[in-house]
Amino acid sequence: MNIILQREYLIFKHNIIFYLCLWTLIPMIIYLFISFPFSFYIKLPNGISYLNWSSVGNWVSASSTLSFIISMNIASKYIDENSYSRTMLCTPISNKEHLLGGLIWSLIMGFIQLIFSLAITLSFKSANLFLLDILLIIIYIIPIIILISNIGFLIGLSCKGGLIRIIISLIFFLFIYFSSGLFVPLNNGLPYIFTLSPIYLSVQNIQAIMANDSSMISSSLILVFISILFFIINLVISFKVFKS
Amino acid sequence: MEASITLKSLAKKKNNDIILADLSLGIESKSNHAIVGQNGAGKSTILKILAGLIEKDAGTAYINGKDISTRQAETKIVIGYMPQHIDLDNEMTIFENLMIFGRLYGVSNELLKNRILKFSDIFDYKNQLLEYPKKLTPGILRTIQFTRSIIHNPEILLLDEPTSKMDPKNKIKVWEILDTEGKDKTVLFTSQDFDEVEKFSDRISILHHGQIRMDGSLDKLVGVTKGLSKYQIRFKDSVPDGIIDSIGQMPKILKPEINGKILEFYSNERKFFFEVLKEVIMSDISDIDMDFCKLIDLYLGLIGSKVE
Repeated sequence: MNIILQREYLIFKHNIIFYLCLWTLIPMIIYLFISFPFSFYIKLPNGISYLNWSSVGNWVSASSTLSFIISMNIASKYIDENSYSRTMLCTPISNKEHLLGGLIWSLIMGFIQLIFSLAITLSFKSANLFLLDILLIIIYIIPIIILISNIGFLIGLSCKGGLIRIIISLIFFLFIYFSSGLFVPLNNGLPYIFTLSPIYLSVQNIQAIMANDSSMISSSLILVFISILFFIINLVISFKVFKS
Repeated sequence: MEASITLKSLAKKKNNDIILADLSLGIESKSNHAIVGQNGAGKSTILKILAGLIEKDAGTAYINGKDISTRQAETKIVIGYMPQHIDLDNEMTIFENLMIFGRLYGVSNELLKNRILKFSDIFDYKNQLLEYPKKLTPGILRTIQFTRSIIHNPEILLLDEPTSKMDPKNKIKVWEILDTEGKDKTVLFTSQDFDEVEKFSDRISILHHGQIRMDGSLDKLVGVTKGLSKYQIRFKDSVPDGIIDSIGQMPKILKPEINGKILEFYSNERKFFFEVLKEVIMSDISDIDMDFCKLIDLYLGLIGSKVE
């Protein structure tokens, strides 16, 4: 697994400028094209600032989008018959190690994106937080990144065509962005099923931290559990896909 | 000699096409074994199955007596595989491409560096080690792929058309390395270059429609033709009319054909060649050629386009 990570690190090292731009631009774009325009139309109760409130959406969406894209990209290389990744499958490294390597790398990249997003939104003064709050927020967001990386890996392994992958990713992100209360408050009239979503509950918890309310870790534990299930599904699929 | 690789009733289907059908083959340890066949005959499929890149539909394959399906880690570590297509990672340098692959086999950094320098020196790409693959020619990339397959000093080499796209100088170097470093290795390779196959293999298998049609040493394979020779008579102007009909009647004259100004036929006995010569002696002959059947003739005969 270390060698898989080492390979990803080498690729990253050669593209460091690109990643620095990506880490900086993603939260800025989300702020400029989603949070900022929405702030003119969405008014929150109790005088809470929308820009402050939507910072959570920025952190979650930026970090999970990046880790999703990276894990999907890593997985899709394994099903490309003429790729280096494919030939790596003839080495004694197990499928589990290939999977873990890809997922850990996408988690690392998503985590760095989260740090960048936090730094950028805090510099915009759209969120005022103490260090402990930030740590707690990170603890709540990491399980979301893990789950979405796993889903990205699954899509990367299952969809052969690039266009199909793009369409599925687009639908998936529209769903995640707007069904989890990341940018639009869903308190009134939200179908009951959405309130059961662990991502929605985690986002609610983070927003509670922002409002100095109490939060519950159970939703994050559920996310970790679901992530483990997805990892097992990925592992089962990999046995079929890696040898097809 | 003991078998290093054993295939038993191997079968593989792709969509509805049969790629391999009930294929059985034993490859002797420390030998050079060539597989020849048409495009799509299943040569690469055999290597991919052995390398663990694709799953067989039926049958069993053993490497050093170990089933490749149940003891993957043990069988994969002794294999070095070189695919037919160029698959180097364009996002890493040549040095990194080789280094990562060697590390996946658990080779130490120090040993890897030494081996990379050694092979890059042999194949003359030392100055390009820090370049990206997309900047290099396919010929050089093939030598790098060959280096990658041998970097961990494997016991068994699976080489899919190893010298394709290489220049003649590098082709010779590949076979020299296989002659020296590969002396104690089992080499299973595919090739479309029959001269190369004749020169460098201890045993040859001719694959056709997913089955081994002939298998053995070059002498044994050519021996089945019982001295069959190919004769060519080149005429100055044109081949005399009706010659095919008249020599077609002669016993032991096989596959008489006209190729432009050349009359071609096969026979086991030279006296029949003289019989044909008598028939055409009045015509303007510019050249005569005779050669014993080679692997290529045997192969073309087997796949049905020439001698049967």
